[in-house]
Amino acid sequence: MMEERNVTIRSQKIEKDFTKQKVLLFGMMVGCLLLVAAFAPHLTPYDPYIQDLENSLKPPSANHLMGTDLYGRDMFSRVIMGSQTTIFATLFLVAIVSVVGSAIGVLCGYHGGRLDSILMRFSDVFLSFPGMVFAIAVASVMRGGLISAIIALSCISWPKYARIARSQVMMIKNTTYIAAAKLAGSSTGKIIFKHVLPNIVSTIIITAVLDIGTMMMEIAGLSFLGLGASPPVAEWGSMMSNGRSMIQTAPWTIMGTGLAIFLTVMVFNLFGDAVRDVLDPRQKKGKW
Amino acid sequence: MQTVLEVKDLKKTFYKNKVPFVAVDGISFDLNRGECLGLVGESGCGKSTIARIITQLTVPDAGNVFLDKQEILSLKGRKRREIYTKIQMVFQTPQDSFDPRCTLGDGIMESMINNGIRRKQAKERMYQLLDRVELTPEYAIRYPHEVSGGQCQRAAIARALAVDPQLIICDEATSALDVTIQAQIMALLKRLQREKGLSLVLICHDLALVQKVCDRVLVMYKGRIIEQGVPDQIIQHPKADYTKILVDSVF
Repeated sequence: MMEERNVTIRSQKIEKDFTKQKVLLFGMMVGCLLLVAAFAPHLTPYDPYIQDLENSLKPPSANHLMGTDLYGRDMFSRVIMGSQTTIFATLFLVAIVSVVGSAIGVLCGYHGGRLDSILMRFSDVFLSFPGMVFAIAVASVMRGGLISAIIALSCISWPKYARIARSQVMMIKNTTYIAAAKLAGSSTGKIIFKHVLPNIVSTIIITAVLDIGTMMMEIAGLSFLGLGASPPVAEWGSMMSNGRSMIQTAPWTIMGTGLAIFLTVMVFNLFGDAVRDVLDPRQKKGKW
Repeated sequence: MQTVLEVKDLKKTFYKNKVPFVAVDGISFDLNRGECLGLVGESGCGKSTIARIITQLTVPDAGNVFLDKQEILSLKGRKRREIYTKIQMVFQTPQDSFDPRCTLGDGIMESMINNGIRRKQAKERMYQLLDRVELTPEYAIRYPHEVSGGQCQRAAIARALAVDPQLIICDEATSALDVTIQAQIMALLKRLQREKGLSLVLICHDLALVQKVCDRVLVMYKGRIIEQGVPDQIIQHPKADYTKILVDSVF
């Protein structure tokens, strides 16, 4: 019996260490991506914006790792430069949406009553449209540009965070430890910041990190449709869109960008999964 | 005898799917300084609702609560929070009554800091309180899930004592604990009551415990007080039918 118990405890411990290692591994990958994005202008072998029409549409070679596009710009440099725009725009978007959304959710959940009904019906309005269609409509009304793409995507994404935060707060609000905090004479503000927020913040972080990949795709999607970053700014979505017409004659014009989007989204998703396993072991999915 | 708490004609009806359920139906009683009052009755008879009304966690439909002759249910904001320096409560489930993300020490200090005591002094007093409830200082940095139910309940009593209240309401404070721990916690509460002249309201369904520690007992049934008096007398000569059943089921 004793031995059996030891074995289980040990395997649990190994598994715990393993989940932490996973966060570390994917965290490092995410860190590398962020570093590349931050120092992009210093890492590009060529200037991503200078046109060199003599070298247009050259296939990948030792000089141009991912070939060149229609205007002879080095694709590899543009992919690196694009990482800055895409990754930082995404992180900015996720940060805004998760903070604003959960603030509204906490307010609704804790306050309840009419304010809650009004804000929740408002969020229903945003949820009742197909997200991307609504974002396209908002972005086109605002005449394109990366900022309007971010605003459009914020509009469709905040209700999700508001709902998550609201349901968590409504659950926590009725616990005994909140009653105990009231009996300790804590003000409502103190209760929210000291006892409610710390207990929901892990859920919000998990949702936000898992959302980074999706948001990146959506920003790239809007840019692909010409509603995000406008040329000549290097942005993965608009670069895909530019290369689309040459997909049969010069496939390298979208190959590098596609690969970059694929890898980045995958790394952020794996990182999100790993963070979730550490912060919230209950939701853990099967081993990978 | 000086009256600490006076409860007058409390009424509370809950609605579940629009079906009314009368939890408290015209309850009145008073409590003297240094007295230990037992409140017994079956589950759902409104005992806990009374505790929640007195501590202002639930708003009653009608009635008044006077603390030191002052009506407290109509108070708002800061004035309302101030009454928590006079009334404290110990909850039924000790582990749930501490924030899982705060240490026991932080939980005990919260009320002191809210009342303007400096962190350093609050910390000193917190260690004194831990000592008084027979916990070693190392419990200050433990989290609620790291300690046993009995230890957690001792910390909860320390928290209730932090502001030197006149009245502590124990809402089934010992029913989640096993019998030996229960006896220790009750002995601790009795000792503190003697030392500080504390008034206690003991909400309980254990008649034997009530007989041992309470000066007076109220028997509740379906939101009403059906009998009251000295515990020995009620247990030996129950008048109401429900009290007879209650006494028979225990002794």
